[in-house]
Amino acid sequence: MSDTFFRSTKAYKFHQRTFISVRRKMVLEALERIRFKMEVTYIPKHRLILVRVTGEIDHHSAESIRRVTEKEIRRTSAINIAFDFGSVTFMDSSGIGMIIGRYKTASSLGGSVIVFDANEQVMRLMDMSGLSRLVIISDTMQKGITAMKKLRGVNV
Amino acid sequence: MKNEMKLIIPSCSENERFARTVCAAFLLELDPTLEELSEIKTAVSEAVTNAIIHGYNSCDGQVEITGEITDRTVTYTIKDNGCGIEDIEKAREPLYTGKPDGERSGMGFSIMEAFMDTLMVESTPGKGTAITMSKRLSDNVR
Repeated sequence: MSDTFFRSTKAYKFHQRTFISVRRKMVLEALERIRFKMEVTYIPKHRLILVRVTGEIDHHSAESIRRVTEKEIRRTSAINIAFDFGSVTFMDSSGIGMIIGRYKTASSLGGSVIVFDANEQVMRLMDMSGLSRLVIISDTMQKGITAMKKLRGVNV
Repeated sequence: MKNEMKLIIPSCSENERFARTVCAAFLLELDPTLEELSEIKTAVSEAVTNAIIHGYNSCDGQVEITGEITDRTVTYTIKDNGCGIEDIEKAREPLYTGKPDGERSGMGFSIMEAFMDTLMVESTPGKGTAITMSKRLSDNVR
């Protein structure tokens, strides 16, 4: 069977359409995993805003985290900020600067900053910068909240 | 093995991710460990961010990135034609930042030093800065 003949068959068209759509889907899924996204939830019980970040934190994305978080803090009566870094795949020193900035905001309101579920690369960077002296670093949000309450002298 | 590459990008913050991803992809051929890969990505990200924020003060310009592989050593040069650094010694001090009100941690150079084997900074005030850094990857035991 010649190649040109095969290319004109229905089977080929079907094969190509399916193949391209599968490949396209794979590429889109891979892009989706590294695309920067953030989701902010206000938890009144703890006067806390939970910021769930997906993707890479650099100078560019740190700027949007700063903007959105500051806006939420002003809009709600939250004094604490918790960062869920479970889906953060990369962070550089701009992320450290951004967390220190949020620490300044929270502590001026009498609150704290929690960073939880960070991967090894992000943990290493936070260790290098001595960030644990300023903010609560934990593996789950619950542990972070417990540590925060202890810090305030509230029994849990 | 020997290889080289050159990348020229406009100095906008969106391009930081593109630059570090290209630099990481460039050395995939050497089969680096995940740790080496993330160290190099972080170091390149710091250098490119410095060029954009400090070199060009977030204004328009071009950042030139070259990469070179010789055996298992990879060398990157990140060059800008921005304002340059007045006092390199001081800029390299940990926690020193030229933009204290810009939420910068002042850790850029410390991170590059920690994650790469060598780091060389050449700068002429008013002309620009070139950062050359290299790292030897561990030999594959596989």
